[in-house]
Amino acid sequence: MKHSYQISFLLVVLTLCVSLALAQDSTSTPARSDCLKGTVTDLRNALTAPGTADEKRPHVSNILRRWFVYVCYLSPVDTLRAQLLGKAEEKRLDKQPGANNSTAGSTSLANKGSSPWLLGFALEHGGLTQTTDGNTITFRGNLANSIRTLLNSTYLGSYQVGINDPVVQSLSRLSFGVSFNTATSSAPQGVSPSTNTFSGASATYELYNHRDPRDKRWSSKWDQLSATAGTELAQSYTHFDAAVRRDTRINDWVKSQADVILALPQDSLDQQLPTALENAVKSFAEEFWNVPELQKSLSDFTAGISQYIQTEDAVFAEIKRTPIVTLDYSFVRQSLPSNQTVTLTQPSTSLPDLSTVTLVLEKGFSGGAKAPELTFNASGTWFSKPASDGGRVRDARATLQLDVPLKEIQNIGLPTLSFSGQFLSLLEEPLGQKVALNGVTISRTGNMGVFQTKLSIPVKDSGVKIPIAFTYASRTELVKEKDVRGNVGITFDLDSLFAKAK
Amino acid sequence: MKVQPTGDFVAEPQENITFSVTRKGSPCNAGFDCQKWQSCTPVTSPDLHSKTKTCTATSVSGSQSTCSINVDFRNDSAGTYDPGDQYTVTITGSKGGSYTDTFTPPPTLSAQTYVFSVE
Repeated sequence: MKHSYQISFLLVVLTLCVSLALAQDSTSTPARSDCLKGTVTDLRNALTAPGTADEKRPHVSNILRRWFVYVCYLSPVDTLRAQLLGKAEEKRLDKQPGANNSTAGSTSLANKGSSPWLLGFALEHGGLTQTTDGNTITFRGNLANSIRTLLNSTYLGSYQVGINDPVVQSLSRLSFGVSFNTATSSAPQGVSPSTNTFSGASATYELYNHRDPRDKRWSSKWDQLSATAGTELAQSYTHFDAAVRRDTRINDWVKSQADVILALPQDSLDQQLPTALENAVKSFAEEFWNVPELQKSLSDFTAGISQYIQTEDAVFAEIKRTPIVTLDYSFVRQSLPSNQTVTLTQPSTSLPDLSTVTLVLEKGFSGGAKAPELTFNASGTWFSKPASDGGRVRDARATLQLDVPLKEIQNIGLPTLSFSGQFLSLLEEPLGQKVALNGVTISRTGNMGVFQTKLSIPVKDSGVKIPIAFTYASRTELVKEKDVRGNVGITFDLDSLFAKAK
Repeated sequence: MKVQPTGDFVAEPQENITFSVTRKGSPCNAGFDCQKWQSCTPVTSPDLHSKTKTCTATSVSGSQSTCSINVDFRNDSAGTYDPGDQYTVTITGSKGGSYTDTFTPPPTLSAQTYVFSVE
């Protein structure tokens, strides 16, 4: 009954979240002023560079002729603006900041193919196949990439450190994870990582992963895009620029707007520059936007933008469809469930530790950013010392998971709904020696099936995700009764934050 | 090569003007459209981050030529971009003078037309 209350509450939360997601438009309405952000930065750089106002004038005049900014701001078409504004965050489905599925407290039934490029953090509550829940805090990271970051100090620059060195490239495919069990921590609040709370560690090696658009494998695709669609876009931009310049009033207009911007006090650029640029764009709209010749060129230009994005999206779709193959090793220190209902029948012997090797295969479908992804895991677990009947192999598992991105929730982000199923064959007693549950000696080998639905809700622009999962098991490892439970957690992909901290 | 207060340029007859585009990240997705020059080299990619094109001005005084360069910050089909990313366009004249422009997102696509007149 305890579980049924939790399940009801979580079902309500899940239903509300899915309903909210489905009720939203597929693209949130972007703010027009966001179109000016990059140009404000470029203008500020031009204005604060050494030199006189006369020396800065050519730069300011040129920046005022960046028509993409005007099209982004003034276009009546929200979808075009949304395309030009994009998103300042990562939304890859294939990262796993949380614990591996063999760790108590994990909310993931399947392991994903990629780890955070730099560092990830997860705090999860639950337990998927065990009888009792666990609370796990997990740190995941990539040692080689962390060193590259320390050497360069910028996210973009760090990717380039050792990019041509095969040793660095091989090492950067290796990531690590360490988990601590918060339930056994003696700290009054939070967790105090120590040998007492250590619950497991993992190492993941990406055998095959070309999902990053920066991968050298895609260089020829990008060169081809620039040479074809890129040139066509530049041509349509040339035509639009020529149409604007044919209006004899434009030079005077640029000069007057440059005068205003050059006259701004240096110490208040942060406050006044965005307003000055927005006023310039509004002034352009009043003076030139509705000129028939410009409107005709604008129509061709926006068609050129859409054509370019469509061509580029085909390249991204090809990248996203490529498979990921990962090999994962995890070590889990076994401990008795904390509720004291399970006891060892031979208290003088300790529980053996567990080692698991998992092969992860991941494949994306067609359909761009919102295409689903399929993940398959095959794994085997063995004991660090023979079990009570002499066997070493604890279990074999096969897991299949489908991740489906939902519609974007305005001001929140893109939630993901996952469906997964696992077949687990327990070949030995789950804890490696005979145990008693509520005083009754049990021996549980055999097969079990586990099914999970998980909703991962992002917290906008923060790298934080909140996974909420429901898991049904045909039995648990210790109890031969069906079990339904809810799991919640919070994961944090530091890559998103670090990418913004330049 | 000299830059005018209007932001347009003046080149000497038959001066070689080199346009170099460098992206902080990679790949360098830049497109070129150079019109009415005496000649232009194909776009070359010295590395993953940069692209270069050189055009030769005509020998006709007062003739005008243009070069539009567009830059692309999109990292996936959702339009994800890195806010710290940047393109730098450097224009160098073979007979002296250089000019540098920077492009920061958003928007995730941007461009500039550079206009040259022969002295």
